[in-house]
Amino acid sequence: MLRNAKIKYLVVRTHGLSSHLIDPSELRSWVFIEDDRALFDKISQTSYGGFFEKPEDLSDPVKIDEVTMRVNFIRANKLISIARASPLENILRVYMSKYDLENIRRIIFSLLFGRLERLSLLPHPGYLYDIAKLSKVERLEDLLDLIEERKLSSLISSWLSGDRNTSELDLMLTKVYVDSLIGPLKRRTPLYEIIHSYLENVTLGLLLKAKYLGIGNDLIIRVLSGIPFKKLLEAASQSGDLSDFLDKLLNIAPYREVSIEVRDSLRDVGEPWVIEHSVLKRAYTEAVRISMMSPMSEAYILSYLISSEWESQSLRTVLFGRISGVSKDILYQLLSPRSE
Amino acid sequence: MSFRSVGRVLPTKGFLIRLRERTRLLKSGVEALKMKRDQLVRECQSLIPDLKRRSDIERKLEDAYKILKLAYSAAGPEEMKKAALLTTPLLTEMRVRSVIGVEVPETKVIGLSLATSPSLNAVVIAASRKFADAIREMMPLVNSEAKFERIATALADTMRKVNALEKIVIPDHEAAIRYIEEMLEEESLEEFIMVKKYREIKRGE
Repeated sequence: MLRNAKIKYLVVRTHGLSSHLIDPSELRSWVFIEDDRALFDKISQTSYGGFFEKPEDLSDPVKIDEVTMRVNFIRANKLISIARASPLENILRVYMSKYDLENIRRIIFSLLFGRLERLSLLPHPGYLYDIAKLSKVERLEDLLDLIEERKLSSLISSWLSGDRNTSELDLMLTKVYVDSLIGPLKRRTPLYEIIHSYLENVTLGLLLKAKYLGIGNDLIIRVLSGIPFKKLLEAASQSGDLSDFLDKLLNIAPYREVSIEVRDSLRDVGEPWVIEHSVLKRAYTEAVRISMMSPMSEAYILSYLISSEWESQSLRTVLFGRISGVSKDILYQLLSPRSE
Repeated sequence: MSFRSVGRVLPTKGFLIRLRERTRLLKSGVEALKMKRDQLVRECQSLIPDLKRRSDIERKLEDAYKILKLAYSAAGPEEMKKAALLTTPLLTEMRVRSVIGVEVPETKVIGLSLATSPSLNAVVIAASRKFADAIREMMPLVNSEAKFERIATALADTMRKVNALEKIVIPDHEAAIRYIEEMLEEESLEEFIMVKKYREIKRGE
Protein backbone atom coordinates (compact mmCIF):
# COMPACT_ATOMS: atom_id res chain seq x y z
CA MET A 1 0.00 0.00 0.00
CA LEU A 2 1.11 3.51 -0.74
CA ARG A 3 1.85 5.58 2.33
CA ASN A 4 2.65 8.89 0.74
CA ALA A 5 -0.58 10.79 0.04
CA LYS A 6 0.99 12.71 -2.82
CA ILE A 7 2.01 9.50 -4.57
CA LYS A 8 -1.45 8.04 -3.96
CA TYR A 9 -2.91 11.12 -5.59
CA LEU A 10 -0.42 10.83 -8.44
CA VAL A 11 -1.36 7.19 -9.09
CA VAL A 12 -5.05 8.09 -9.16
CA ARG A 13 -4.36 11.03 -11.48
CA THR A 14 -2.33 8.75 -13.73
CA HIS A 15 -5.31 6.41 -13.99
CA GLY A 16 -7.30 9.43 -15.13
CA LEU A 17 -4.60 10.50 -17.59
CA SER A 18 -4.37 6.95 -18.98
CA SER A 19 -7.91 7.31 -20.24
CA HIS A 20 -6.57 9.95 -22.69
CA LEU A 21 -4.24 7.44 -24.31
CA ILE A 22 -5.35 6.18 -27.68
CA ASP A 23 -6.51 2.60 -27.73
CA PRO A 24 -3.65 0.68 -29.46
CA SER A 25 -6.01 -1.34 -31.67
CA GLU A 26 -7.75 1.84 -32.82
CA LEU A 27 -4.41 3.48 -33.53
CA ARG A 28 -3.38 0.47 -35.61
CA SER A 29 -6.57 0.73 -37.62
CA TRP A 30 -5.61 4.30 -38.66
CA VAL A 31 -3.03 2.73 -40.96
CA PHE A 32 -5.89 1.91 -43.35
CA ILE A 33 -7.49 5.39 -43.40
CA GLU A 34 -6.89 6.81 -46.88
CA ASP A 35 -8.46 10.22 -46.47
CA ASP A 36 -6.32 12.90 -44.77
CA ARG A 37 -9.39 14.73 -43.48
CA ALA A 38 -10.82 11.59 -41.85
CA LEU A 39 -7.47 10.84 -40.17
CA PHE A 40 -7.15 14.46 -39.08
CA ASP A 41 -10.62 14.27 -37.49
CA LYS A 42 -9.60 11.13 -35.60
CA ILE A 43 -6.35 12.71 -34.35
CA SER A 44 -8.14 15.95 -33.43
CA GLN A 45 -9.97 14.05 -30.69
CA THR A 46 -6.71 12.97 -29.04
CA SER A 47 -4.02 14.78 -27.02
CA TYR A 48 -2.17 15.40 -30.29
CA GLY A 49 -5.17 17.16 -31.83
CA GLY A 50 -4.38 20.57 -30.39
CA PHE A 51 -1.01 20.69 -32.13
CA PHE A 52 -2.10 19.74 -35.63
CA GLU A 53 -3.90 22.75 -37.11
CA LYS A 54 -4.91 21.41 -40.51
CA PRO A 55 -4.96 18.08 -42.40
CA GLU A 56 -1.86 19.17 -44.35
CA ASP A 57 0.13 19.08 -41.07
CA LEU A 58 -0.18 15.30 -41.15
CA SER A 59 2.11 15.32 -44.18
CA ASP A 60 4.79 17.44 -42.52
CA PRO A 61 7.43 15.11 -40.99
CA VAL A 62 9.06 17.84 -38.92
CA LYS A 63 5.71 18.81 -37.42
CA ILE A 64 4.86 15.17 -36.67
CA ASP A 65 8.20 14.66 -34.94
CA GLU A 66 7.79 17.84 -32.93
CA VAL A 67 4.17 17.16 -31.90
CA THR A 68 4.68 13.56 -30.83
CA MET A 69 7.72 14.51 -28.77
CA ARG A 70 6.00 17.53 -27.28
CA VAL A 71 2.95 15.51 -26.16
CA ASN A 72 5.26 13.01 -24.50
CA PHE A 73 7.18 15.72 -22.69
CA ILE A 74 3.97 17.48 -21.61
CA ARG A 75 2.64 14.26 -20.12
CA ALA A 76 5.88 13.54 -18.26
CA ASN A 77 6.22 17.15 -17.08
CA LYS A 78 2.70 17.06 -15.70
CA LEU A 79 3.48 13.97 -13.63
CA ILE A 80 6.77 15.46 -12.45
CA SER A 81 5.07 18.67 -11.38
CA ILE A 82 2.45 16.74 -9.38
CA ALA A 83 5.16 14.56 -7.84
CA ARG A 84 7.25 17.61 -6.83
CA ALA A 85 9.06 17.16 -3.50
CA SER A 86 8.03 13.51 -3.29
CA PRO A 87 10.51 10.59 -3.60
CA LEU A 88 8.97 9.80 -6.97
CA GLU A 89 9.97 13.13 -8.50
CA ASN A 90 13.59 12.12 -8.74
CA ILE A 91 12.73 8.70 -10.16
CA LEU A 92 10.61 10.31 -12.86
CA ARG A 93 13.33 12.85 -13.63
CA VAL A 94 15.97 10.13 -13.86
CA TYR A 95 13.64 8.07 -16.06
CA MET A 96 13.17 11.04 -18.40
CA SER A 97 16.90 11.86 -18.28
CA LYS A 98 17.31 9.43 -21.19
CA TYR A 99 16.30 12.39 -23.35
CA ASP A 100 18.99 14.52 -21.66
CA LEU A 101 21.54 11.79 -22.36
CA GLU A 102 20.35 11.63 -25.95
CA ASN A 103 20.89 15.39 -26.27
CA ILE A 104 24.32 15.11 -24.63
CA ARG A 105 25.14 12.34 -27.09
CA ARG A 106 24.11 14.58 -29.99
CA ILE A 107 26.17 17.48 -28.67
CA ILE A 108 29.22 15.21 -28.36
CA PHE A 109 28.70 13.78 -31.85
CA SER A 110 28.37 17.23 -33.39
CA LEU A 111 31.54 18.41 -31.65
CA LEU A 112 33.42 15.24 -32.47
CA PHE A 113 32.63 15.36 -36.18
CA GLY A 114 32.66 19.16 -36.52
CA ARG A 115 28.95 19.27 -37.35
CA LEU A 116 27.85 21.94 -34.88
CA GLU A 117 25.84 23.71 -37.57
CA ARG A 118 23.77 20.54 -38.04
CA LEU A 119 23.11 19.98 -34.35
CA SER A 120 19.45 19.28 -33.73
CA LEU A 121 18.32 18.64 -30.17
CA LEU A 122 15.19 17.09 -28.76
CA PRO A 123 12.90 19.95 -27.72
CA HIS A 124 13.36 19.83 -23.95
CA PRO A 125 15.55 21.97 -21.70
CA GLY A 126 16.54 18.95 -19.61
CA TYR A 127 15.34 16.89 -16.67
CA LEU A 128 18.67 16.52 -14.86
CA TYR A 129 21.09 18.49 -17.02
CA ASP A 130 20.95 22.02 -18.39
CA ILE A 131 20.89 21.13 -22.06
CA ALA A 132 20.68 24.75 -23.25
CA LYS A 133 23.97 25.50 -21.47
CA LEU A 134 25.60 22.27 -22.69
CA SER A 135 24.63 22.95 -26.28
CA LYS A 136 26.61 26.20 -26.26
CA VAL A 137 30.02 24.63 -25.63
CA GLU A 138 32.52 24.77 -28.43
CA ARG A 139 34.99 22.16 -27.23
CA LEU A 140 34.37 18.64 -25.96
CA GLU A 141 36.56 19.31 -22.92
CA ASP A 142 34.31 22.22 -21.88
CA LEU A 143 31.39 19.81 -21.45
CA LEU A 144 33.05 18.28 -18.43
CA ASP A 145 32.92 21.54 -16.47
CA LEU A 146 29.20 21.87 -17.13
CA ILE A 147 28.12 18.31 -16.28
CA GLU A 148 27.64 18.29 -12.53
CA GLU A 149 26.89 14.59 -12.22
CA ARG A 150 30.30 13.23 -11.27
CA LYS A 151 29.92 9.70 -12.61
CA LEU A 152 28.90 10.90 -16.04
CA SER A 153 31.57 13.59 -16.25
CA SER A 154 34.32 11.16 -15.19
CA LEU A 155 33.15 8.61 -17.77
CA ILE A 156 33.12 11.23 -20.51
CA SER A 157 36.53 12.41 -19.35
CA SER A 158 37.97 8.88 -19.62
CA TRP A 159 36.30 8.49 -23.02
CA LEU A 160 37.87 11.74 -24.18
CA SER A 161 41.30 10.54 -23.16
CA GLY A 162 40.79 7.26 -25.06
CA ASP A 163 40.25 6.74 -28.78
CA ARG A 164 36.85 8.48 -28.71
CA ASN A 165 34.93 5.53 -30.09
CA THR A 166 31.27 6.53 -30.61
CA SER A 167 30.01 3.02 -29.86
CA GLU A 168 31.82 3.05 -26.54
CA LEU A 169 30.17 6.37 -25.70
CA ASP A 170 26.73 4.91 -26.44
CA LEU A 171 27.37 1.89 -24.25
CA MET A 172 28.71 4.13 -21.49
CA LEU A 173 25.72 6.46 -21.55
CA THR A 174 23.35 3.49 -21.40
CA LYS A 175 25.28 2.10 -18.44
CA VAL A 176 25.03 5.47 -16.67
CA TYR A 177 21.29 5.53 -17.33
CA VAL A 178 20.74 1.96 -16.12
CA ASP A 179 22.81 2.47 -12.96
CA SER A 180 21.23 5.80 -12.06
CA LEU A 181 17.68 4.55 -12.57
CA ILE A 182 17.79 1.11 -10.97
CA GLY A 183 20.55 1.70 -8.42
CA PRO A 184 18.58 3.55 -5.75
CA LEU A 185 15.43 1.39 -6.00
CA LYS A 186 14.27 -1.03 -3.35
CA ARG A 187 14.18 -4.55 -4.79
CA ARG A 188 11.09 -6.73 -5.15
CA THR A 189 8.67 -3.85 -5.50
CA PRO A 190 6.40 -3.31 -8.52
CA LEU A 191 8.34 -0.11 -9.28
CA TYR A 192 11.64 -2.01 -9.31
CA GLU A 193 10.10 -4.71 -11.44
CA ILE A 194 8.76 -2.33 -14.07
CA ILE A 195 11.98 -0.32 -14.25
CA HIS A 196 14.02 -3.51 -14.36
CA SER A 197 11.90 -4.76 -17.24
CA TYR A 198 12.13 -1.44 -19.09
CA LEU A 199 15.91 -1.23 -18.71
CA GLU A 200 16.26 -4.85 -19.72
CA ASN A 201 14.56 -3.95 -22.99
CA VAL A 202 16.74 -0.86 -23.44
CA THR A 203 19.81 -3.07 -22.97
CA LEU A 204 18.40 -5.75 -25.25
CA GLY A 205 17.89 -3.19 -28.04
CA LEU A 206 21.38 -1.79 -27.50
CA LEU A 207 23.01 -5.22 -27.59
CA LEU A 208 21.12 -6.27 -30.70
CA LYS A 209 22.33 -3.13 -32.49
CA ALA A 210 25.84 -3.52 -31.09
CA LYS A 211 25.95 -7.03 -32.57
CA TYR A 212 24.52 -5.76 -35.85
CA LEU A 213 27.27 -3.14 -35.99
CA GLY A 214 29.89 -5.75 -35.19
CA ILE A 215 31.04 -4.13 -31.96
CA GLY A 216 33.54 -6.40 -30.19
CA ASN A 217 32.59 -8.43 -27.14
CA ASP A 218 35.55 -7.01 -25.22
CA LEU A 219 34.15 -3.51 -25.43
CA ILE A 220 30.61 -4.63 -24.58
CA ILE A 221 31.74 -6.58 -21.52
CA ARG A 222 34.20 -3.90 -20.37
CA VAL A 223 31.58 -1.13 -20.45
CA LEU A 224 28.41 -2.98 -19.50
CA SER A 225 29.73 -5.36 -16.84
CA GLY A 226 27.81 -4.84 -13.63
CA ILE A 227 24.41 -4.24 -15.20
CA PRO A 228 21.74 -6.46 -13.65
CA PHE A 229 20.86 -8.40 -16.82
CA LYS A 230 23.30 -11.25 -16.52
CA LYS A 231 21.63 -13.68 -18.96
CA LEU A 232 21.46 -11.03 -21.66
CA LEU A 233 25.07 -9.98 -21.23
CA GLU A 234 26.20 -13.59 -21.09
CA ALA A 235 24.38 -14.41 -24.35
CA ALA A 236 25.96 -11.35 -25.98
CA SER A 237 29.44 -12.17 -24.76
CA GLN A 238 29.17 -15.78 -25.97
CA SER A 239 27.99 -14.91 -29.46
CA GLY A 240 29.85 -13.63 -32.48
CA ASP A 241 27.55 -11.79 -34.85
CA LEU A 242 23.89 -10.76 -34.77
CA SER A 243 22.46 -14.03 -36.06
CA ASP A 244 24.53 -15.92 -33.52
CA PHE A 245 23.18 -13.66 -30.78
CA LEU A 246 19.62 -14.15 -32.06
CA ASP A 247 20.14 -17.92 -31.95
CA LYS A 248 21.19 -17.64 -28.33
CA LEU A 249 18.21 -15.42 -27.49
CA LEU A 250 15.87 -17.90 -29.13
CA ASN A 251 16.72 -20.34 -26.37
CA ILE A 252 16.05 -17.85 -23.58
CA ALA A 253 12.29 -17.78 -23.11
CA PRO A 254 11.75 -14.06 -22.34
CA TYR A 255 13.64 -12.95 -25.45
CA ARG A 256 12.23 -15.53 -27.82
CA GLU A 257 9.59 -13.29 -29.41
CA VAL A 258 11.94 -10.39 -30.07
CA SER A 259 14.48 -12.81 -31.50
CA ILE A 260 11.90 -14.30 -33.89
CA GLU A 261 10.68 -10.87 -34.99
CA VAL A 262 14.21 -9.63 -35.72
CA ARG A 263 15.10 -12.86 -37.52
CA ASP A 264 11.98 -12.54 -39.66
CA SER A 265 12.96 -9.02 -40.67
CA LEU A 266 16.47 -10.24 -41.48
CA ARG A 267 14.99 -12.98 -43.64
CA ASP A 268 12.42 -10.76 -45.42
CA VAL A 269 14.28 -7.48 -45.88
CA GLY A 270 17.86 -8.55 -45.27
CA GLU A 271 18.23 -6.02 -42.46
CA PRO A 272 17.18 -6.20 -38.80
CA TRP A 273 15.19 -3.00 -39.17
CA VAL A 274 12.48 -3.85 -36.61
CA ILE A 275 14.75 -3.87 -33.54
CA GLU A 276 13.41 -0.61 -32.07
CA HIS A 277 9.79 -1.51 -32.68
CA SER A 278 10.15 -5.02 -31.34
CA VAL A 279 11.96 -3.90 -28.23
CA LEU A 280 9.69 -0.94 -27.48
CA LYS A 281 6.65 -3.12 -28.14
CA ARG A 282 8.04 -5.66 -25.67
CA ALA A 283 8.76 -2.93 -23.13
CA TYR A 284 5.20 -1.64 -23.50
CA THR A 285 3.60 -5.09 -23.22
CA GLU A 286 5.68 -5.95 -20.17
CA ALA A 287 4.95 -2.57 -18.54
CA VAL A 288 1.21 -3.05 -19.03
CA ARG A 289 1.42 -6.59 -17.64
CA ILE A 290 3.32 -5.51 -14.51
CA SER A 291 1.10 -2.48 -13.88
CA MET A 292 -2.04 -4.62 -14.22
CA MET A 293 -0.81 -6.75 -11.34
CA SER A 294 -0.37 -3.70 -9.08
CA PRO A 295 -2.56 -0.94 -10.47
CA MET A 296 -2.32 1.17 -7.32
CA SER A 297 1.47 1.27 -7.17
CA GLU A 298 4.05 3.71 -8.56
CA ALA A 299 4.63 1.13 -11.26
CA TYR A 300 1.43 2.32 -12.88
CA ILE A 301 2.95 5.79 -13.37
CA LEU A 302 5.96 4.35 -15.17
CA SER A 303 3.66 2.11 -17.19
CA TYR A 304 1.75 5.22 -18.27
CA LEU A 305 4.97 6.91 -19.43
CA ILE A 306 6.07 3.82 -21.36
CA SER A 307 2.58 3.49 -22.89
CA SER A 308 2.72 7.13 -23.90
CA GLU A 309 6.06 6.56 -25.63
CA TRP A 310 4.71 3.53 -27.46
CA GLU A 311 1.64 5.52 -28.48
CA SER A 312 3.78 8.37 -29.85
CA GLN A 313 6.00 5.91 -31.69
CA SER A 314 2.95 4.17 -33.15
CA LEU A 315 1.41 7.45 -34.29
CA ARG A 316 4.71 8.46 -35.89
CA THR A 317 4.87 5.11 -37.65
CA VAL A 318 1.33 5.59 -39.02
CA LEU A 319 1.98 9.15 -40.21
CA PHE A 320 5.55 8.75 -41.48
CA GLY A 321 4.54 5.49 -43.13
CA ARG A 322 1.78 7.29 -45.06
CA ILE A 323 4.22 9.97 -46.19
CA SER A 324 6.86 7.46 -47.28
CA GLY A 325 4.32 5.18 -48.96
CA VAL A 326 5.23 2.12 -46.89
CA SER A 327 2.81 -0.79 -47.36
CA LYS A 328 -0.15 -0.68 -44.97
CA ASP A 329 0.32 -4.34 -44.08
CA ILE A 330 3.92 -3.74 -43.01
CA LEU A 331 2.86 -0.77 -40.86
CA TYR A 332 0.02 -2.74 -39.30
CA GLN A 333 2.33 -5.63 -38.57
CA LEU A 334 4.83 -3.28 -36.93
CA LEU A 335 2.20 -2.00 -34.54
CA SER A 336 0.57 -5.32 -33.75
CA PRO A 337 1.60 -7.29 -30.70
CA ARG A 338 2.97 -10.61 -31.92
CA SER A 339 0.70 -12.60 -29.68
CA GLU A 340 -2.46 -10.94 -31.03
CA MET B 1 42.78 23.70 -111.43
CA SER B 2 41.94 23.18 -107.74
CA PHE B 3 40.83 20.18 -105.67
CA ARG B 4 38.75 20.59 -102.50
CA SER B 5 41.19 19.01 -100.08
CA VAL B 6 44.40 19.70 -102.03
CA GLY B 7 43.95 23.34 -102.86
CA ARG B 8 45.37 24.99 -105.98
CA VAL B 9 47.23 22.45 -108.08
CA LEU B 10 50.30 23.43 -110.08
CA PRO B 11 50.98 20.96 -112.89
CA THR B 12 54.71 20.84 -112.22
CA LYS B 13 57.04 17.98 -111.47
CA GLY B 14 58.06 19.51 -108.15
CA PHE B 15 54.45 19.80 -107.06
CA LEU B 16 53.77 16.22 -108.20
CA ILE B 17 56.66 14.92 -106.08
CA ARG B 18 55.40 16.86 -103.05
CA LEU B 19 51.85 15.63 -103.66
CA ARG B 20 52.98 11.99 -103.91
CA GLU B 21 54.89 12.33 -100.62
CA ARG B 22 51.88 13.89 -98.97
CA THR B 23 49.61 11.08 -100.24
CA ARG B 24 52.02 8.45 -98.91
CA LEU B 25 51.99 10.19 -95.54
CA LEU B 26 48.18 10.38 -95.56
CA LYS B 27 47.91 6.68 -96.31
CA SER B 28 50.21 5.74 -93.46
CA GLY B 29 48.19 8.15 -91.26
CA VAL B 30 45.01 6.32 -92.21
CA GLU B 31 46.63 3.03 -91.29
CA ALA B 32 47.63 4.43 -87.90
CA LEU B 33 44.14 5.83 -87.34
CA LYS B 34 42.61 2.48 -88.29
CA MET B 35 44.82 0.78 -85.73
CA LYS B 36 43.73 3.34 -83.15
CA ARG B 37 40.08 2.80 -84.13
CA ASP B 38 40.40 -0.97 -83.72
CA GLN B 39 42.10 -0.56 -80.36
CA LEU B 40 39.36 1.85 -79.18
CA VAL B 41 36.68 -0.62 -80.30
CA ARG B 42 38.45 -3.35 -78.31
CA GLU B 43 38.58 -1.04 -75.26
CA CYS B 44 34.85 -0.32 -75.60
CA GLN B 45 34.07 -4.01 -75.89
CA SER B 46 36.11 -4.78 -72.80
CA LEU B 47 33.96 -2.28 -70.85
CA ILE B 48 30.66 -3.91 -71.80
CA PRO B 49 30.61 -6.50 -68.96
CA ASP B 50 31.18 -3.66 -66.46
CA LEU B 51 28.42 -1.57 -68.01
CA LYS B 52 26.01 -4.48 -67.83
CA ARG B 53 26.31 -4.28 -64.03
CA ARG B 54 24.34 -1.03 -64.12
CA SER B 55 21.04 -2.85 -63.61
CA ASP B 56 22.48 -4.61 -60.53
CA ILE B 57 23.61 -1.30 -59.07
CA GLU B 58 20.26 0.29 -59.85
CA ARG B 59 18.55 -2.57 -58.05
CA LYS B 60 20.84 -2.07 -55.06
CA LEU B 61 20.01 1.63 -55.00
CA GLU B 62 16.30 0.81 -55.20
CA ASP B 63 16.72 -1.50 -52.21
CA ALA B 64 18.59 1.23 -50.35
CA TYR B 65 15.77 3.69 -51.08
CA LYS B 66 13.20 1.16 -49.86
CA ILE B 67 15.06 0.84 -46.56
CA LEU B 68 15.40 4.63 -46.42
CA LYS B 69 11.62 4.90 -46.74
CA LEU B 70 11.24 2.42 -43.92
CA ALA B 71 13.80 4.35 -41.89
CA TYR B 72 11.87 7.52 -42.43
CA SER B 73 8.61 5.90 -41.38
CA ALA B 74 10.06 4.15 -38.37
CA ALA B 75 12.54 6.73 -37.11
CA GLY B 76 11.48 10.11 -38.47
CA PRO B 77 13.49 13.15 -39.51
CA GLU B 78 14.96 13.81 -36.04
CA GLU B 79 16.75 10.49 -36.04
CA MET B 80 17.95 11.14 -39.58
CA LYS B 81 19.43 14.45 -38.45
CA LYS B 82 21.20 12.63 -35.65
CA ALA B 83 22.64 10.10 -38.10
CA ALA B 84 23.84 13.00 -40.24
CA LEU B 85 25.97 14.16 -37.30
CA LEU B 86 27.92 10.92 -37.51
CA THR B 87 28.79 11.13 -41.17
CA THR B 88 31.97 12.39 -42.72
CA PRO B 89 31.87 13.93 -46.20
CA LEU B 90 32.30 11.57 -49.14
CA LEU B 91 35.97 11.84 -50.10
CA THR B 92 37.09 10.80 -53.54
CA GLU B 93 40.43 10.81 -55.32
CA MET B 94 40.47 11.47 -59.03
CA ARG B 95 43.27 10.96 -61.52
CA VAL B 96 43.38 11.08 -65.27
CA ARG B 97 44.78 8.12 -67.24
CA SER B 98 45.57 8.02 -70.92
CA VAL B 99 44.14 5.17 -72.99
CA ILE B 100 45.62 5.37 -76.55
CA GLY B 101 45.81 9.10 -76.26
CA VAL B 102 42.30 9.45 -74.82
CA GLU B 103 42.22 10.99 -71.36
CA VAL B 104 39.87 9.08 -69.06
CA PRO B 105 39.05 10.05 -65.46
CA GLU B 106 39.36 7.47 -62.68
CA THR B 107 37.63 8.12 -59.37
CA LYS B 108 38.30 6.20 -56.18
CA VAL B 109 36.33 6.48 -52.93
CA ILE B 110 38.78 7.09 -50.12
CA GLY B 111 36.41 8.23 -47.39
CA LEU B 112 32.83 7.07 -47.01
CA SER B 113 31.80 6.33 -43.49
CA LEU B 114 29.13 6.61 -40.85
CA ALA B 115 30.59 6.25 -37.40
CA THR B 116 29.06 3.30 -35.62
CA SER B 117 26.59 4.14 -32.93
CA PRO B 118 24.23 1.58 -31.42
CA SER B 119 22.07 4.47 -30.22
CA LEU B 120 20.94 5.00 -33.80
CA ASN B 121 17.74 3.39 -34.90
CA ALA B 122 18.51 -0.01 -36.49
CA VAL B 123 16.64 0.88 -39.64
CA VAL B 124 18.68 4.09 -40.04
CA ILE B 125 21.89 2.06 -39.64
CA ALA B 126 20.55 -0.40 -42.24
CA ALA B 127 19.71 2.41 -44.69
CA SER B 128 23.10 4.08 -44.31
CA ARG B 129 24.89 0.75 -44.79
CA LYS B 130 22.87 -0.04 -47.89
CA PHE B 131 23.67 3.36 -49.38
CA ALA B 132 27.36 3.12 -48.50
CA ASP B 133 27.55 -0.32 -50.15
CA ALA B 134 25.67 0.90 -53.23
CA ILE B 135 27.96 3.94 -53.58
CA ARG B 136 31.07 1.78 -53.16
CA GLU B 137 29.84 -0.59 -55.85
CA MET B 138 28.68 2.28 -58.03
CA MET B 139 32.14 3.86 -58.27
CA PRO B 140 33.70 1.25 -60.62
CA LEU B 141 30.60 1.58 -62.80
CA VAL B 142 30.92 5.38 -62.77
CA ASN B 143 34.54 4.98 -63.88
CA SER B 144 33.60 2.53 -66.61
CA GLU B 145 30.79 4.75 -67.87
CA ALA B 146 33.00 7.83 -67.92
CA LYS B 147 35.73 5.84 -69.69
CA PHE B 148 33.24 4.43 -72.20
CA GLU B 149 31.83 7.89 -72.89
CA ARG B 150 35.28 9.40 -73.54
CA ILE B 151 36.44 6.44 -75.63
CA ALA B 152 33.20 6.42 -77.63
CA THR B 153 33.65 10.14 -78.41
CA ALA B 154 37.27 9.53 -79.44
CA LEU B 155 36.16 6.52 -81.51
CA ALA B 156 33.55 8.57 -83.37
CA ASP B 157 36.16 11.26 -83.97
CA THR B 158 38.71 8.73 -85.26
CA MET B 159 36.17 7.06 -87.54
CA ARG B 160 35.20 10.46 -88.96
CA LYS B 161 38.87 11.19 -89.66
CA VAL B 162 39.45 7.77 -91.29
CA ASN B 163 36.37 8.19 -93.45
CA ALA B 164 37.33 11.72 -94.45
CA LEU B 165 40.84 10.61 -95.38
CA GLU B 166 39.73 7.46 -97.18
CA LYS B 167 36.73 8.88 -99.00
CA ILE B 168 37.71 12.48 -99.66
CA VAL B 169 41.27 13.56 -98.94
CA ILE B 170 43.23 10.63 -100.40
CA PRO B 171 40.98 10.26 -103.49
CA ASP B 172 41.33 14.03 -104.04
CA HIS B 173 45.10 13.77 -103.77
CA GLU B 174 45.16 10.79 -106.11
CA ALA B 175 42.96 12.65 -108.59
CA ALA B 176 45.27 15.66 -108.35
CA ILE B 177 48.28 13.39 -108.95
CA ARG B 178 46.54 11.83 -111.96
CA TYR B 179 45.67 15.29 -113.26
CA ILE B 180 49.25 16.53 -112.91
CA GLU B 181 50.60 13.36 -114.48
CA GLU B 182 48.21 13.78 -117.42
CA MET B 183 49.10 17.47 -117.74
CA LEU B 184 52.83 16.68 -117.62
CA GLU B 185 52.38 13.88 -120.17
CA GLU B 186 50.42 16.20 -122.45
CA GLU B 187 53.09 18.86 -122.01
CA SER B 188 55.88 16.43 -122.86
CA LEU B 189 53.91 15.12 -125.87
CA GLU B 190 53.35 18.69 -127.04
CA GLU B 191 57.03 19.41 -126.61
CA PHE B 192 57.94 16.23 -128.56
CA ILE B 193 55.63 17.24 -131.43
CA MET B 194 57.05 20.77 -131.40
CA VAL B 195 60.59 19.40 -131.56
CA LYS B 196 59.60 16.99 -134.37
CA LYS B 197 57.92 19.80 -136.34
CA TYR B 198 60.92 22.03 -135.82
CA ARG B 199 63.23 19.29 -137.14
CA GLU B 200 61.00 18.74 -140.22
CA ILE B 201 60.93 22.44 -140.95
CA LYS B 202 64.67 22.70 -140.54
CA ARG B 203 65.24 19.63 -142.77
CA GLY B 204 62.98 21.15 -145.47
CA GLU B 205 65.01 24.32 -145.68
